Amino acid sequence: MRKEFLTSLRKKLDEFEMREEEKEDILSDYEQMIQDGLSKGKSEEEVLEMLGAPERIVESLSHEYKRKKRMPASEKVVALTPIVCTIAYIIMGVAANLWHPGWLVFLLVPVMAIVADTMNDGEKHIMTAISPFLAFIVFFLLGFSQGLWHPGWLVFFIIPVFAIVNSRRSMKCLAFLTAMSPFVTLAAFFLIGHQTGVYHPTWMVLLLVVLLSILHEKKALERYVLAATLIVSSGLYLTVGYVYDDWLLASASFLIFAVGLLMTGNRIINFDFLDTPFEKAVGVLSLLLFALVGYVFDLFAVSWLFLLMTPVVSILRKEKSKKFTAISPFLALTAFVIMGYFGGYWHPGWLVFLIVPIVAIVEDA
Amino acid sequence: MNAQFKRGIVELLVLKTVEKRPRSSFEVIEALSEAVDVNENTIYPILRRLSKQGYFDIEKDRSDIGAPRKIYTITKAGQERLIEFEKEWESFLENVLKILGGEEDA
Repeated sequence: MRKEFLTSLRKKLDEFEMREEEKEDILSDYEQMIQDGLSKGKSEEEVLEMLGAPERIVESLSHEYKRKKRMPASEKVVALTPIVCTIAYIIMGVAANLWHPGWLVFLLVPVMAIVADTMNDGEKHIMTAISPFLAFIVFFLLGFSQGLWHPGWLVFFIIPVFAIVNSRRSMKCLAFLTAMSPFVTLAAFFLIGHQTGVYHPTWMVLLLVVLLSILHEKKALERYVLAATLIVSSGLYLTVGYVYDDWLLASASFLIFAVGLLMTGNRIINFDFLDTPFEKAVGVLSLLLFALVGYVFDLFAVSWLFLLMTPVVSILRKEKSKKFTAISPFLALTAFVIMGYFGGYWHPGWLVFLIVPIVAIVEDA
Repeated sequence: MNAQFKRGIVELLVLKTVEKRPRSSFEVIEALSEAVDVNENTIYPILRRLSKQGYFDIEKDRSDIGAPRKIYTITKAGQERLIEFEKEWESFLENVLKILGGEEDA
């Protein structure tokens, strides 16, 4: 009984930051008190009852000492990750000469830290948190092993896609499809373009984004008119383009869609970020530049970058703080695609994405 | 009763008990728990804290069995603290009794 009491007391004391000799002193005091009580003719039970339960004793002592911060298992894993990565890196390098791309294992260090942090916060969106690192790992592996820097960079789309998928429970089906559509259609555009070299008229898959946005229109008549005119315009554009091989003439087909817009009060699809006349003007301008540069210079592979003008302008106008952090992914993507497409620098081009964390750190400071 | 307030009273009682005569930890606990309804497990931490603050001297009394027995003796600083404490307590009690006795403010 006495032994259990002292063992239990030691365990409880171990939870506090105190010198070992101090702990031993307290235990010795209690041992002495028990002895003292017994020598006064009290039973062990009576003495222990008088001294109180070890939990209560330590609770009273706790005013004097700081409780030790327990390192959760997840933090232990995080602390061990750099060592494990270093060992793995050395083994891969020495045994299989995989110094490169073996260094990628070091990306596990931030990944593990993010996973642990997300778990400790009770945050369930682990995939969203680690998606940038997963994207980097897949991008590098595709690039180094297969030379697929382009269109391998499309893997970065998993970052917004995971974020949207994680938010799907709070979204209606149509809102979910609309949010996903820019990434899915852009990925389709580049993959088909890269495989077939036919960027035009593959770019028309991007019109799905417009079509889905039209479906948000509350008034049924406007919805049908806009959707119908867009579908008819697209069909006619392809027909005229292929039959007469005159894509400039074919583009006149979109006048039908323009009529549809006029009929419905000239309301261009109501994106949230196009809520001021200036932003709407930028939206229209970006569409025109996309089509014009794409058509005139046959540069649909890069002219879509003009479409990024709209969100960038919207962010610059609305964001009061950290606006450069918010636009940095767009700028990095633009620089990356231009370097890759015109200079073939898909390989080192990824370095421009480093501006995203750099800008974030600078702006945060 | 407020735990901090209660701890303050126990502190006064511990000082007074040791002032009467040098005692071991167990004797202090025994004396107090017999006299007042006090949480025994708070006594030892207070005794320890007051010793650290220099209010008690500790002498080790070697016994035949087990760990050496610590005997607490009040120091000069401890006596001064006790006097100060008693004055505070008396003044506090006086005011409490005044209110309970229904005396009006001057």
